Amino acid sequence: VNTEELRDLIIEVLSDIAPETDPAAVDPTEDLREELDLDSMDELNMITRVSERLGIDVPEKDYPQMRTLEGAVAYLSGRLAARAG
Amino acid sequence: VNRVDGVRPRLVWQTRPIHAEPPPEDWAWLTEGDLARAAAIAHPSAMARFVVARALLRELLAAFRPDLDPAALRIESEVSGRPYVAGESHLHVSLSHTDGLAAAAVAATGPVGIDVEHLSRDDLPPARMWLAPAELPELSRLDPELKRLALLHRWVAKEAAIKAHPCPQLAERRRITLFCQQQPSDPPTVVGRTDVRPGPVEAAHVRTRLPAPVAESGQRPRVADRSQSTAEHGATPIPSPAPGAASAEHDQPSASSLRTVHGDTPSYASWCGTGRARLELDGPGRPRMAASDATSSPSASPASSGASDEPVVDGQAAPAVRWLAVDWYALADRFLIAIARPPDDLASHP
Repeated sequence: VNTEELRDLIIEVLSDIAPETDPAAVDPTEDLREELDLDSMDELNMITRVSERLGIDVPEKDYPQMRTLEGAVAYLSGRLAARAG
Repeated sequence: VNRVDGVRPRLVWQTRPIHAEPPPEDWAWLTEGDLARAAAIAHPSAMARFVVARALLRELLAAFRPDLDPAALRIESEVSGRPYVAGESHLHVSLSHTDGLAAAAVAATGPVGIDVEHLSRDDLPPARMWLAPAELPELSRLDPELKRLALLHRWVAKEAAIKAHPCPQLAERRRITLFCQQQPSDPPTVVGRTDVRPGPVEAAHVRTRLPAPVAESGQRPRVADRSQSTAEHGATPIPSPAPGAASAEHDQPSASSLRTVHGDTPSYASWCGTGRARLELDGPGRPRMAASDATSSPSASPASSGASDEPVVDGQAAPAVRWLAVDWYALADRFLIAIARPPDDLASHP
């Protein structure tokens, strides 16, 4: 899974959680919760679905790393690379 | 907030409807600094939310501490997002909002957390993602709708507990275990019904927790009566059952007075449960948490609010445990509110 596919996956999940928004248009460095008006339940639903699709377990202490699109892609890339390596 | 002879409330909370355009009375509470912050918010709905939340918090602070000038209080946010009142480390505040409603709490006893959700919310994340292991078995027996409600109660309670955590950004939901004294799946119990009128829900309630008479003896300023309606008083202190104990004391809702602040607010708040939350705090992380938080909020020291020190094992501190009291309220059968606060027995014996 490359970074582009990770980004697409996150956007797809976010589009489902916040259907009235356009996650693809969000600045990748901005806080997703503010940009898409997500609350903590939305945030955990996003993390749950993305981690399930990728087959990885995201510990709670790592959630803050997934608060931006860029951060989430970087974090998940790292996790997947660690698993592969 | 009502005046109670000899004592002052330790915790007050209140809700306020969020409209697309906040009414003038909400704007009137905002200071120059608040207005500047509001003007910088791009999204109209986010700005409306900010204005209502800020007005609600200032009104509540004014009611809680009439000796302070609400316009002179500077409300800031910690890194975690938790609001605090600059220079008033003894005041603890919490904010929450959902579609259409903002909720705020102010306490003098230690960090407080409030969380509000729509009772109809049905998109809860899978339980295994956020329940502590000990919480899972008892929910498996419930039928789907009761289970949804029970989970929703636990969700708002954990969100409130996280806000009352010494360091909210380090709190983990799966390390918060809730012990419910009244099962959240039990039907809510109305403890006070005030001013029920037809019309849309404009819930604005203040619920005051009265301290035990011995705790404070009136040496501090009393709280002026700013409410327009009469108050009801309960006189029974909230019981502090053993953690894990289940009881169904529907008719003993705790020491409280419930009243509307605005005379035209229909509907009611129902107390619908109480419990305790057990928070595990990382031993090794605690000194770091206290140090990093001390600059932003002097109130965030875990030692000041009921944390119990655990023995040091093999040179590494074991996880510390902190208990919070949790109360749930239903508003007008539409919203569910949880409030987490230091337990009374700890708060009165610092």
